[in-house]
Amino acid sequence: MMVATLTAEGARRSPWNRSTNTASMADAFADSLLSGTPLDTGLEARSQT
Amino acid sequence: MTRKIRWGVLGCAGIAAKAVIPAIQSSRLGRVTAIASRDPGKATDMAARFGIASAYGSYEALLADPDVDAIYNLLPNHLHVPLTVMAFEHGKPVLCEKPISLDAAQAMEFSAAQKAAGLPVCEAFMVRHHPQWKKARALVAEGRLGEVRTIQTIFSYYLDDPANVRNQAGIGGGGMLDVGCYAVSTARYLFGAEPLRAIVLMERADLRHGPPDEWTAGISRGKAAHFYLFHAACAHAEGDRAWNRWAPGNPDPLQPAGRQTDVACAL
Repeated sequence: MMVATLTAEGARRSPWNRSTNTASMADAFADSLLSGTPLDTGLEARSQT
Repeated sequence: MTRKIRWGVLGCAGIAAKAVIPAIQSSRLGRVTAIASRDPGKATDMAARFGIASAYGSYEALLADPDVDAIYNLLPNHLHVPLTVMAFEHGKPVLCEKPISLDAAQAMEFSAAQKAAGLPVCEAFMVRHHPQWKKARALVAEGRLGEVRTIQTIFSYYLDDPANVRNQAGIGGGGMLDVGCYAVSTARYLFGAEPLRAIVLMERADLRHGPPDEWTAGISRGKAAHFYLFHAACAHAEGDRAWNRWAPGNPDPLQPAGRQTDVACAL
């Protein structure tokens, strides 16, 4: 079985970190606010469960 | 020139200086323009450090600021719903730290307030907005792993400071609420489906000095025979160091298992 691993080594080499993760999330929300396009946050689906 | 969102940050916890404020200041579409803490000195210090225009000694004052477009609720878990609802009352959309609510009753209160206000809200699970996880979700959706039936997650850390908010039962600490929610949320995201039922084992700490759960392990069953298996630990006792196999510097894995192949991603 082939296993594609994106774990430790990949994370160390990745330009992504806690700060860039948060910036990406804040920009997604900001873009939604500025454009008026709803953001899929998963909360709507959860509220119907 | 692209208009930027003017963020008001509620709270001056360590994560504010370490991650959230630098992240927003470096983001493409936003800037932090106001910050609030119950301790005015903390807010003033943080504002000076990061070039934030306004510092408030009360959350209500920040929420009333007409020059704030959106709120980042960084407060401890038990204040997520009350202050998010208060932000709605001031007409502000909210990006709220995870988990939004502590229990089902709070979730219902939050949901009703959000629907009444009609304002956007986002729970701070970065997974949904991160290219790695978008790719992982696409791999699952495209059938590249075969039929995915099980997602297994381990997310743990060692923390023995009883004063840390993550170790305080009364304000929403513990392994399940602090990191277990990542396992559940990410599995829901990858499957694109909601769980139908869950069976959970939880080991409770000394509630006078520890978190409500030192570790939690669960199996959640969703539609189409999806299973989420998760283990979350906010280890407190010395003997629990063994739970902390991956951190620090060696991220905890989440592993969607398909009939043809698996993919393991760092959380």
